[in-house]
Amino acid sequence: MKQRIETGLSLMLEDEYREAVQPLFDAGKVDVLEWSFDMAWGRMIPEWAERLLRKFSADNRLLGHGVSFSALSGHWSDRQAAWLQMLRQDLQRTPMRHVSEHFGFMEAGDFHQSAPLPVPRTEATLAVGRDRLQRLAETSQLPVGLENLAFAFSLDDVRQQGQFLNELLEPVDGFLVLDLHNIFCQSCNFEVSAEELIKLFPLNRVRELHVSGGSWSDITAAGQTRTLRRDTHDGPVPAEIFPLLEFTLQRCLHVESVIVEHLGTALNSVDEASQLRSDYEQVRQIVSRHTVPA
Amino acid sequence: MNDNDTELARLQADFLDCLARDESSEALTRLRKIETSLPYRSWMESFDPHMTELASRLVQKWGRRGEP
Repeated sequence: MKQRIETGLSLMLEDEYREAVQPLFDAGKVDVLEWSFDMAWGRMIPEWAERLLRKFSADNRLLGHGVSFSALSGHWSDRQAAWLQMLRQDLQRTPMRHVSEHFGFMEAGDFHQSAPLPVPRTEATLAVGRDRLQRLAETSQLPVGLENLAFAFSLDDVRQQGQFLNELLEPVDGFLVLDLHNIFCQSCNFEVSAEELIKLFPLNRVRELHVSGGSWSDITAAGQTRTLRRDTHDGPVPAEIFPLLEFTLQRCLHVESVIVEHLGTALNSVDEASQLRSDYEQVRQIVSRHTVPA
Repeated sequence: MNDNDTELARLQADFLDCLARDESSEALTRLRKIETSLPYRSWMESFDPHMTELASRLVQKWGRRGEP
């Protein structure tokens, strides 16, 4: 028995986003919806988005993807405990198929928010990460996963992340969200083959793939300027990602869905909206050529 | 449950504090002044200066201090 792989979108709340992706929903081309539930806390969710969330939730086609849990913070904070309570309430109202978060930390000391940054693999960081994932699993009572990080301080960080993720996920039998643009960023910034990097991840744990675009930044250090790739979700999907998606799909036998991510605040013209739909169609076409064992 | 790893928590707090500072010195130079134990020290020794500078820029942009 073979099972088809779903293609979906990461839901954004801006009207520009709705206008850009509405034709894809109208054509029945969105199989699953990813929902960064914590980004909506404290915000008004528009009625059109509420309708989509209810519909996809009712059909078990809603995938939870948190952003701000900070799974590898050494200090367990009141904010994280409240985060889990909020998630529990969200799940009661809007059931989701699974819940994922990100590798790394973004909260420490008096910082309650920051950019997600990696940590090295030590016995201490492993214990902390496993504890946080256990809490996430107990609260959600759902399969839980982690996404690979785009940012790395060194090539060692890049090379160790796959094994570290595997060790973190093992006790909860968690899944990996493999973000191909994050891999692309590391490939560009450390001049290593993206295919080689992908092989370093526990591909048997991949349940979800992410595809997006990003941007370049000139950074000066030690008297030299380098152009670095960043995972900003605000541009077209780079051409290199499509063959990488093909390569990855051939190797991930448990993948369920491929999600295209794009910021709703970065759709400022008809051309940008059209580019997003075109990228989505191309992803969907590639995904349609693959199946996984049922 | 493993609420806290004190050393990791302290390192991460110092780490964000260093990266958030908009100073003339380079981020990597500031980070390497953090006092911590061997595994973390050798991790920081491996840092790429450009990536560290980028991290500093990101923390300056996205970092929020105080009550959530």
